[in-house]
Amino acid sequence: MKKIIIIIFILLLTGCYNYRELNNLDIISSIGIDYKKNMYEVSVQVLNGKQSKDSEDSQIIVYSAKGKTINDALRNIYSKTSKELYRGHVSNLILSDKVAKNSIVNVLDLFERYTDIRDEMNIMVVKNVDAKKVLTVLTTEKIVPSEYIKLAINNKHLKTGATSSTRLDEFSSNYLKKYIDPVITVISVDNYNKKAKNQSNITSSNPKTKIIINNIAITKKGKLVDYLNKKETIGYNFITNNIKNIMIPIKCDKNNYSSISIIKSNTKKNITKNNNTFLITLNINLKGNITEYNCNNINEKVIKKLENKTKIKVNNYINNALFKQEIVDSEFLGLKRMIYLINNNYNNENYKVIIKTKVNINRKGEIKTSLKDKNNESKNK
Amino acid sequence: MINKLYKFKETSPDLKIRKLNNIYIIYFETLCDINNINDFILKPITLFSIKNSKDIFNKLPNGNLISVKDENELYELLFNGFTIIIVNKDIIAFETRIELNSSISEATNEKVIKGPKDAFTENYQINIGLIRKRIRSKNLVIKEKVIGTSSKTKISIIYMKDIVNNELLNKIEKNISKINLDYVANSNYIYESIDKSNNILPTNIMTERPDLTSFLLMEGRIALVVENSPEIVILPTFFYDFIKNIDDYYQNSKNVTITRIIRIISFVISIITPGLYIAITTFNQESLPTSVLINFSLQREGVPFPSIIEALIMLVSFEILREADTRIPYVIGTSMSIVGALVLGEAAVSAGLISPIMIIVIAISSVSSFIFNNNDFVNYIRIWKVLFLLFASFTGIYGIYICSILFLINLTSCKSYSFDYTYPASPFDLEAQKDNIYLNIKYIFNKRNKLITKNVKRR
Repeated sequence: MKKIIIIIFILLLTGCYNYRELNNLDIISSIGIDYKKNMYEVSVQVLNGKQSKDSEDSQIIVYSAKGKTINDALRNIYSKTSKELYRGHVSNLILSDKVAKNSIVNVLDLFERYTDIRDEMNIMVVKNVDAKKVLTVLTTEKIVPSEYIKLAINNKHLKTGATSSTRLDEFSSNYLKKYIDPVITVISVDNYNKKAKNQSNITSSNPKTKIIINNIAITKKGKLVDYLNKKETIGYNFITNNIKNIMIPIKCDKNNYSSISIIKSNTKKNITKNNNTFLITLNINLKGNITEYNCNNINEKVIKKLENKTKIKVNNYINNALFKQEIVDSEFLGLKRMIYLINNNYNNENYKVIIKTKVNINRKGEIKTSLKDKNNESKNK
Repeated sequence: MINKLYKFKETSPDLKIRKLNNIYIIYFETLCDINNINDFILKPITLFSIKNSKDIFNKLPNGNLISVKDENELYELLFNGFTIIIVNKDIIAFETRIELNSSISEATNEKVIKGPKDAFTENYQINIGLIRKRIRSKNLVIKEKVIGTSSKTKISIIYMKDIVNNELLNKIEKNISKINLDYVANSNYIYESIDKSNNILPTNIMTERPDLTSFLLMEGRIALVVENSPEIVILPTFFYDFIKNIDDYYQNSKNVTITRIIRIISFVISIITPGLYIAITTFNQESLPTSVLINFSLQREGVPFPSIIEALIMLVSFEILREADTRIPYVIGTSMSIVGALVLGEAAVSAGLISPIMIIVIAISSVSSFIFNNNDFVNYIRIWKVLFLLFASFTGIYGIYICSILFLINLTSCKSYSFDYTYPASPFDLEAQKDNIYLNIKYIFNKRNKLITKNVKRR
């Protein structure tokens, strides 16, 4: 009996401290942060819990408020909503260009302190408009915009390798490490106008205002310094062994192109010391398929040639990224950290990079020659 | 003697006393077959002009003739449907009992797809006969006892002499001899009076299936047959006996493993789902995918009660419906279930009192618990279901952890007649796993449960 009473008291005295009913929650899906006139403007994209399936209601509601700090601004939002802001499902943190150039780390401090924030939260910089405006843009029907951005970044990374998703925990842990600077995803909005908020934007077959996924941006000391272009981004992904399934266009004769799809990519880094200089060897192993071929004659020799050209192209991507690193003086490739991990006495000395790329093309698809080839053959007959 | 009987007749008008010359014939017309008395007693007595008790023993055609010694025995036999003949102070009893029982019919509470369909009845003799029919062995021991100062109910302890665990047998016999009752209504009276444990877990199987009874007897368990009770108590019982079903041994054994896994899953589902739903939606929303959370929150919109009240309303009304459905006559039963389904399902949702997802949760949990055909077991699931719900409503997933630990403590500390209730999972017995969740029918052919038998090999 005593035990039962103790259990009941434990439950009654300690229970219910974080009790909240679902219909009293404003589920935040994205947070946008702008910096205007020495004040943070925080906007939250909240999932609309009242919309029914048939109605034309928007799936999201955007609230925004200003404050000296981000938390101050978040609390000020409560003057506009009756429900509790629930942060457990934030999937995107969108920073405006100005905030990112000012300091990304100042923003992240709050989110690292929260216990209920998801570590998988993506952070990104919006290039051309305010973060608040990105949140208001409606995307293709039935998909919540934040979900749309998350999926789009993943797909672009998988299929083209021209971007990379940045998680909150990755960003802050890279920031805290020596000799490595984190990168951040970049998005932008195409054709922003006031109509983007309306349902009319998504009812047309070709929405005028769209959220576009760009490449990545590099940081230094927690501040955004420069944007990378497509080639440099692919190079970055090759060096960090983050290439999944990309396509590389290769010129096969004077006017025509062929495409090589990379189905498997593996980058291994080796470090050797030679006469007081460190040598980093990038061993890149690629497996690819020919998915498009518009020149004449396909045979062993041509395939060898294509392999060679792919190799040169990949090396070119990597060199672009390495060159960018030298100009900007930001350690976003993390090569110095590689050396530092092996040699603790390392003190910012110079190093050299050697690229060893192996390309293997083993499949040609359903047709064995090119269509052009076949056409010639039949004409000759 | 006769005068005493005449006095007794004043309070029981169905007692008949017939006088032929110097022979008194006494019987209860409610318990006796009048045709039997006419054919085998009255006719011979008048035909052969019987005068003394010697003639009766020699000339009356009956297999069950008893010479009665004292008054108590006389009354006992009289109440058992015997006819008493008194000649010159000699008292002789005749069996002329009438069949007051329903005939053997299909088992109503324990359904099977394949296998024998016969079931125990209210008749004590038939019940024992149904077991004897299946085990034609000298080792089948039937120990009879009479319990109940007023009801004088016959109960018998049935076991296999060469298989049973003697310690267990002694314990049960000792417990039965201590029973002090005036009336035995059902076999549950016997079970409750010999059960010393304080647990809500059912430590017995009460079955109406003779095939299950003889299967378990051959495993070394003990059956208690109680007069006037169509259920037979089988002791001891383990947790996994409720997961197994006698049906499993009548079908292709290779598929049974999956069936048993489904039973285990539905056991867990029926206990934990309402609690888990409450925990996730009111405390740990972060553990759901965003799209599911939106879906739940849309359904919750406009419901006036807190989730826990909603769940309790649904659970209680479901239990009311279930109780009403078992008590209601079969004829009105269908209209009852229509009303129940409409009121609980459609109307409550469209009135905005209950969210649709809550109905799904309670329905899944309740349907899963009905996989088990033992009513005691279903009630045991119900108690833990509510406990999980309450713990979850106070501290969320953390409460589910605490309640799971309490549940496991309760389950593993339970003893069924000094045997561990969760055998063979804990204490772990590798060999017994061949008939636990995984079923290897060859094991059943050759060996028995190690824990409760003294004779493991079957042949």
